[in-house]
Amino acid sequence: MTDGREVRVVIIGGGATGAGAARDLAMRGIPALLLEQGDLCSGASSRFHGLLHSGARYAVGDPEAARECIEENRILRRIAPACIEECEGWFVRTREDDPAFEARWTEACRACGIDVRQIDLREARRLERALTPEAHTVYRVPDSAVDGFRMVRHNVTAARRLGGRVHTYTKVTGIEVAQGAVRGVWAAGFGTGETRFIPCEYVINAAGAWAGATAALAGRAVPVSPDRGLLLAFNHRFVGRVVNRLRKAADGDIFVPHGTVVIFGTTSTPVLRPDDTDVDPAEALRLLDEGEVLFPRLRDYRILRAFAGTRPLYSPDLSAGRAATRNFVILNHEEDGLKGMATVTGGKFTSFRLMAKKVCDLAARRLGVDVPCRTALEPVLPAPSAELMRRAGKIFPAGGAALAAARLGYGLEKAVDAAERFPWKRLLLCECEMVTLAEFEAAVSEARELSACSGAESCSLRNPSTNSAQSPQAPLPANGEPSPPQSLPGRSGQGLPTPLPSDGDDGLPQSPPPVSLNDIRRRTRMGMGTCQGNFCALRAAGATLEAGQQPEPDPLRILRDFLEERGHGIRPLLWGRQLREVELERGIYCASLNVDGAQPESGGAWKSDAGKTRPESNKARELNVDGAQPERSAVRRSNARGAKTESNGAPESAAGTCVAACAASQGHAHDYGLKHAADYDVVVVGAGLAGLVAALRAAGRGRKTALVSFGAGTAAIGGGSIDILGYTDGEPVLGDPFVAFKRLAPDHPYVLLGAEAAVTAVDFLKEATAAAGLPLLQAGTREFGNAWLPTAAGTLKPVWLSGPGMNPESLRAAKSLTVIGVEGMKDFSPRFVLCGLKRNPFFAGKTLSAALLPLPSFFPEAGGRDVSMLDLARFLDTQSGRAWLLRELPGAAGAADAALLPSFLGVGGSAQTHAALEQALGIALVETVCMPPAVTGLRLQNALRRALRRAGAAVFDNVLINGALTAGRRCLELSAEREGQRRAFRAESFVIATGGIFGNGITTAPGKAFESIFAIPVPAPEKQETWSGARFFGRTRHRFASMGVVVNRALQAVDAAGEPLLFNVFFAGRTLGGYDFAAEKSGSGVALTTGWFAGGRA
Amino acid sequence: MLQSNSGYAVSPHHRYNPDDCTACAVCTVHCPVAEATSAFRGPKQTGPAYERFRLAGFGDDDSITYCSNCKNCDISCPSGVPVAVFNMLARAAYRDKRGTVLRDLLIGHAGDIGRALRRVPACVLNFGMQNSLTRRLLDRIGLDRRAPLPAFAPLAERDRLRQGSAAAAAPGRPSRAAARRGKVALFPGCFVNYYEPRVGSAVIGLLEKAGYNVIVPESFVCCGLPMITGGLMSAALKRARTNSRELARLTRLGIPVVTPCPSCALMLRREYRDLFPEEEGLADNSAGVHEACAFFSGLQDRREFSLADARPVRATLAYHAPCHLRALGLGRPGIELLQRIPGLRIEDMDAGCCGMSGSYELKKGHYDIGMRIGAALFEAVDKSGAKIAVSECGTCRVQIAHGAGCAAAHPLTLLAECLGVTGA
Repeated sequence: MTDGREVRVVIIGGGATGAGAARDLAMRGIPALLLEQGDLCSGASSRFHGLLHSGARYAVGDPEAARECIEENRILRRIAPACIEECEGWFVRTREDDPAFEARWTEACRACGIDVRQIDLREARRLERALTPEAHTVYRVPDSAVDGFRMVRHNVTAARRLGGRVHTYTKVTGIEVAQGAVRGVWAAGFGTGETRFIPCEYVINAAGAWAGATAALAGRAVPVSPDRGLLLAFNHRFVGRVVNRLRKAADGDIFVPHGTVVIFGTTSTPVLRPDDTDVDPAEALRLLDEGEVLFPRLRDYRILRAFAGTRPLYSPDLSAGRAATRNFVILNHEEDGLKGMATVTGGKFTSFRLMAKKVCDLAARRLGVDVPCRTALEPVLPAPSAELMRRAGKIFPAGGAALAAARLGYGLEKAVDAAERFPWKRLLLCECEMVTLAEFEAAVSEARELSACSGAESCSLRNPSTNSAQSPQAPLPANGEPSPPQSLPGRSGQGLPTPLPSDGDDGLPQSPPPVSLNDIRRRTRMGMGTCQGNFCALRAAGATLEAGQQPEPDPLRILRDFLEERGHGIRPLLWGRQLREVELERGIYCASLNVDGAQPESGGAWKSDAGKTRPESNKARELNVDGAQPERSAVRRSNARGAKTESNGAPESAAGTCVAACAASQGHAHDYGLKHAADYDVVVVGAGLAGLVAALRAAGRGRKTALVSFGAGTAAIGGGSIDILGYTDGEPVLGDPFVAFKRLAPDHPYVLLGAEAAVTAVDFLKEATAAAGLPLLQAGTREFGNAWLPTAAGTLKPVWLSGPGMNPESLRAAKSLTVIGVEGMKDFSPRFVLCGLKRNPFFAGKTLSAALLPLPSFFPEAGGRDVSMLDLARFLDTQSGRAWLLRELPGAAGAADAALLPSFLGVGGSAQTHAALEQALGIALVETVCMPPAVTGLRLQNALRRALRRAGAAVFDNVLINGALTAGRRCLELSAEREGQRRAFRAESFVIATGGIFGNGITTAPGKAFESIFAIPVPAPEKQETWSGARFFGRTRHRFASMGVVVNRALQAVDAAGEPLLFNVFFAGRTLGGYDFAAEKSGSGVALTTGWFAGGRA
Repeated sequence: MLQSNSGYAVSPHHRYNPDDCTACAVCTVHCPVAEATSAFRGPKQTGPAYERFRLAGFGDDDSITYCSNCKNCDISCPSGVPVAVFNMLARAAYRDKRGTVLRDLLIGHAGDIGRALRRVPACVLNFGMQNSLTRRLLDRIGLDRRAPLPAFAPLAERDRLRQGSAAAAAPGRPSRAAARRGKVALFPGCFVNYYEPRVGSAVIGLLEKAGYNVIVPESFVCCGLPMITGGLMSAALKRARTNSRELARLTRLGIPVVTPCPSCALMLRREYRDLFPEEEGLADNSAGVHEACAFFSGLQDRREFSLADARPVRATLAYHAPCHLRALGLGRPGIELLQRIPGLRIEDMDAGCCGMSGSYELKKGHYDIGMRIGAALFEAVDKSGAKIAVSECGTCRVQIAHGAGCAAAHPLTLLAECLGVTGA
C-alpha cells in the first residue's frame, strides 16, 4: 500500500490515456493509482500539434478511425470546453494537389458523418489573409484546437476529486506476477526517491511510446515502435483556424492555432528510443518548404521553437512511419496468459477517452465491478462560478481571467484569493503569456501535491542530502526528457515481493527537485511565448523560493535547467530572430548575471585582503594608477599624431570622388530636401557603448561628428558596469585582466589593439563619465584583478569599473549583510540572491540575511503595470521616495552593516545621492548587477549622451542605415532609405558600431551570416547544427557567439587575403568577430576599447 | 563603384505582426507615459505583447487608453517594431467596442470645425472657446479645463495663408524673384491653419526667397492624426484617402509638398501606410512630402538657399526637438538652420517629450500625466535662461508656453525674421 489506502488498479503513464483512465476508474468508484515517471503530460500528449480531429484527415484511409474521431470530437467539446478552442478547421487543396483525391475525400467524409462544407474562395481569403492565393478549394470541417496539457491535468484533477491518486516523478520498475496474475508493481519516486511495492489487482499500461518497455516488465512483448514527429511553434497567430492540406496525409500539412501561437507539423520518422526528441535543423527547413505551399510567407514568421514527440505506433507487422496504422489497440494480456493487465497504445489524442473507456471496461470486468463508463456524460471539471469569474476579471489583465480559469481549473479560486489578499501578486511573472504570480503559486502547489512532496517543510526534511550535492551532473527527469525505463530482468514472475534497494540503481529516477520550473511551465504556459523564458526564468526561480520552497544546494540549477530546456527547442533554429533572442538571453544570463561562469574559488580583488588592512589595498590601487599613467599619455599622443597625418592626406581625394558619386546617385530615389554636402568628418552608426564612445572621442578630437542610430543601443538595458575580461577558456581571470589578454586568440579585438589601448580607453571613459556627472568606480585593480560584484542571480560577476552605487569595498568591510528586495518587484528576489551568496566562499564568515520592503503605497495604481526596478529608481529620485527608503530600510536591515539592494537608487544615480543615503541610514548600500531594464545601464547611456551633446556631436535618432556608396576601397556615403526618400550621410570616415546579432549589425540566415550595411560576409559554418554547442550554459563553445566582421589592427574589415576592404570604415563593438562577450564577460570592455580606438582613427 | 543595399531593413511583411519584438523592454524604459504613471502598462505590453493575445481574441485592456502616440517606443526600439502603431490600432478596436467618446470626436474633428469657422473673426472664436463657461462645459465632456487651448489667429492672417504665393500681390510686400524653381505645395496642417498662420506665411516667404512659387491646395484636409489618437480610424482613413489623392496629383506634376508640422509630415509619409496596410496606394507618393526645416536644410546644403544675408541676432534660444520629428529620423534640421544665424546661441534641451503629445494632455485624466512628462523640459528651458523657446511642433509650443511660461516659436518664423522675409 502506498499510504494504507487500497489500490485495486495501477495505471502506468500520465499522458492523456492514463489520465483519462484515472478519471474513468474514479467515476466507477474503483480505487486506482496513476504513476508517471516524469511530470504529467511530458510525453507525446503534449508533443503533438494539438489538433482535435474531426476525422476528416482519416476519412479516406481509415473510415473507422474517422468515425471514432468525429464522435469523440463531439464528446470532448461537450465535456471539456475549457481545454478546447472551437476554432473550426479547413481543408485546403492547392493547385498542385491531386484533384481526384478531393472528390474521394468529400465522399468519404460524408460517409463517415463528418460535416464538410465548401467555402467561397474569396471569403476564405478574407478570413485567413495569410493563406496562399494558390488555394483552389477550401472546405470547412469541425476540427478544433485542443490543449493537451490542460486536458490531461483536468482529467487528473477530476480523478483526484473522486478519490483517485496520482504520483508524478515515480517510475514503475517492476511488475510482480504470481500464478499467472498480476500481484502488484514496484515503483520508485514518491517525492523521496524511495522504492515501494504497491499491491494491486490490475495494471493498465498506458505508457505511450514507453508501453513496450513497460510491458516487458511483466514479461510481455508489445511491439510498439516510437515514431518521431517534428513540430514548429510560431510566435504569433498568423492563422485563426486549423488548416489542413487536402491531400493524402503527408509531412507538414497541418497548422493549428493555439492561444497565442500556431503549431505546424508534422513529420514521421521511426526512431529507436521513445525519448529521442532531438530535432535536426535540416528537417525543420524541409518542413518549412512544405508549409510554404499553404502559407507563402511562412519563413517570414518567427518560429519560437521546434519540438518533437514520439508517437506510439503499434506495429506487429513491423510497418513504420506513415504506413503504420494510427489506430489504437488494446492488448488484454489475459489472452496471452497474464491475468490483470492490459496495454493500451497507438491511437491519437482525440480518441484518448475512448481508449481509456475500453481499457477500463476490461479492468472493471476483471475486478467484478459492473458500473458503466460515464466519462462521456459529465463535464470533466465544472465551469467556475460566475461570481468567481467576476472576481477574477478584476485581477487578471486584458481578458486574462478566462485564460487563467482554463489553465488552472480548480486552482483558479486559490489564485484569486491570493491576488485579492496580496495585490502585488497580480504582477505578471511571464509577460509574454500573461501568467501572474498568483497563478504561478497555485500551479506550484498543485505540482507539489502530485509529486507527493506536499509542503516546504517535508521537502526540507528530505531534500538536502542526496542527489544534487553529491552528483550535480545527474540528469533530472524533470527537465530533460524522461529517460527510458530500464527493465529489471528477473523481477517479474518472482514469488514474494522483496523491497528493491533504492541506492545505486541508475535507471531509477532521482527524486526531482521539489518543483521544477518546467512543471510550472506546463501548467501555466510560463516561458512559452516570445522571449522563451528570458525574462521570467529569474523571476520564477526567485518566486519558488519566495513561495517557501527550500533552496537546493545550487539555486541556479532551477534557472539553468529551465533555460536549457527552452534552449533545446530553440537550438535547431538558431538564425535570424531566434538567434537574436538567444543573444539577448546570453546577454542577460551570462554577461550580466553570470549564471554560467565558474565562480572563483579564491583570489579576485576583494578576497585577496585576508591578511591586509583596507588602507594598504587602497594604497596599492593608487600606486597602480600612478604607475600606469605615463604610458597612457604616450599612447594618447601617438594616436593623436597618427590621426592628424591621416586626415591631412585624405580630404582632397575624398572630395574628388564625392562629386562623382553625387552625380551617380541621382535618380535613385527622391532627393528633395536631403542633405548632400560632405557634412561630417566622422559618421558613427550605432548608439550602444561602442558607438557613443567612438562619437565622443571623435568629437573630442575636434572632428565634426554625427551619431546615427536606429533604436537605443544595448547600453540602455545593460548592466552598466564595465567588464574587461572575466574568463578565458571558461576559467576565471584572477590576476590583472589586461595581462590575461595574452591568453586570448590572435583575432580577438583585445589582441589586435593591445592592452595599452584598453587601459587608455578605460581612462577615457572614466574622465568622460565623471565630467558628465557619473563618476565610475575603479572596482578592480591591476594587482588583484577584477572586482567580483554580486548579481541578482546570487552570483558574483567580474567587473573593472562599476557604478557609484556598487562599491566592492563596502561588501568586503561588512561583517553582516542583508539582501533587500521590494514586495512585488519581480526582477529581484532577495532570497534567491541570498541562497547564491551563501554558497560563495567570499561570504564565508559574514552574517547573511534577506528581507523584503513593503511596496510604497501608491504602487500599483488600479489596473496598472508591475513595479519595475526603473519605477522604483524614479520614485527614489523624488523626496517622498527617499523618505520611504529612509523609513523602511532600517527595520528590514536590522543590525546589518551593509545592505545589498537592487540597482534602484535613482535614475541619476549620482555619487552624492548615494553617499547622502548611506550617511542618513548609517549603513553601506551596495547595488546589485540586475537584469534588463537595468537602471545602471540607463545611467551610463544618459551620461554618455549628455557628454556627447556637450561635445557638439549631431545625433540622428531613428535612422536605419541601409545603403552604402563606395568607390574603390573608400566609403563615400551611408544612406538611409525609407518611404521613398533617401538620406545620405557623407563623411571622411565612418565608424560602424551597429552591434552584433542582437543589434542587427550582423544578419544571420541558415548557414550564413553577413555584416548588415556593407554585406561583408562573416565566416559562419554552413552546417547550421554546428553553430551552437549542446547546452547554452557551461563550457560549450558556440560558433555563433564569436561571429562578426574580421578586421585588422586598424579595425578595418579585411578580405580573405587580409587586405582592407574599405580604408575609411572602422568597425567597433559587437559587430566585430573573434570574441564571445557573454562567456568572457568582456562585452563592455571590447565595446569601449574598440569604440575608443575607432573614434581615434576615424 | 559598389552600391550595396542589402542590409537588414524594416520588412513590410512584419509590420503588423509582433515577431520582431524580443521583449527587451527598451521601449518601456524610454516611454514618457510609463515614466509618469504606472496606470499604463507600457508600450511593450500593450503593443507587441498584447497583440499576440488580441489575435487570439483576448488582450482588451483599459491601459491602452494611456498611450500618447508620442512614438518614443518606435524611436528606441532596436528591432524596428512599430509599437505605437500597434497601440493606435488596438485603441481603435477598443473604442469600437466601447463606443466613441464625444471628447475624441471633438478633438478629432477640430480641423473640420476650424475649417467651418474660417469666416468667423478670431475674437469671437476665442471668446467662445476660452471663456470659463465653455471651459467648464468642455471639462464636462472630458477636456481638462486646466489644459492650454491654443487661440485662433486673426481672420486676415488665416485668409492670407490660404492664398499662398497668390497673396504676393498684397500691398507692402517686396517683389520677389521669378519662381525659377517651380512650384511647391504647402501643407500647413490644422494648427498652423487656424492658430498660427504666421508660421505658414513665413514658410511661404522663405520658399519664395528660395525661388519657389507656393500653392496651398484647398483639397488638402487634416492629416488625420487627431482622429487616430482618438480611435476614429474610419474618419482618419477618409482623410488619408483625400490627402493621398491630392498628393498623387502633385507628384504627377512634380510638385513637392512641404509642411512645417512634423506630425503632419509623419502621418503623410509613414503613418498612412503603417495604419492602413490593406489600403492600396495610400503611401505611394509619400516620398514627395518634406518636413519644412529639413527641406530648407537640404536646399541650403545644395546651395539653393542662402542664409548669408541673415541679420545677426544676439539671443539664446531653447530648442526642443518634437518627438515626431525625431521619429522621422531627420536629426535636428531646425538647429542646423538657426546655427547659421550669426550671434544666435541655440541650446538643445534634449529633455524628452513635452507631454502635450498633440491633444493628449487636453484629455481629462491625462493633464497631470502630461505635465509630469513635461516637467523635465520646463525645468531645462527655465535653466537655460532663454527668453524664447523654439520647436517645430505647434502643440509642443503651446505646452512650453504653458509649462515654462516663455514665448515659443517655430524655427522658420525666426529664420524668416532674420532674413527680413515678412511672410505672406
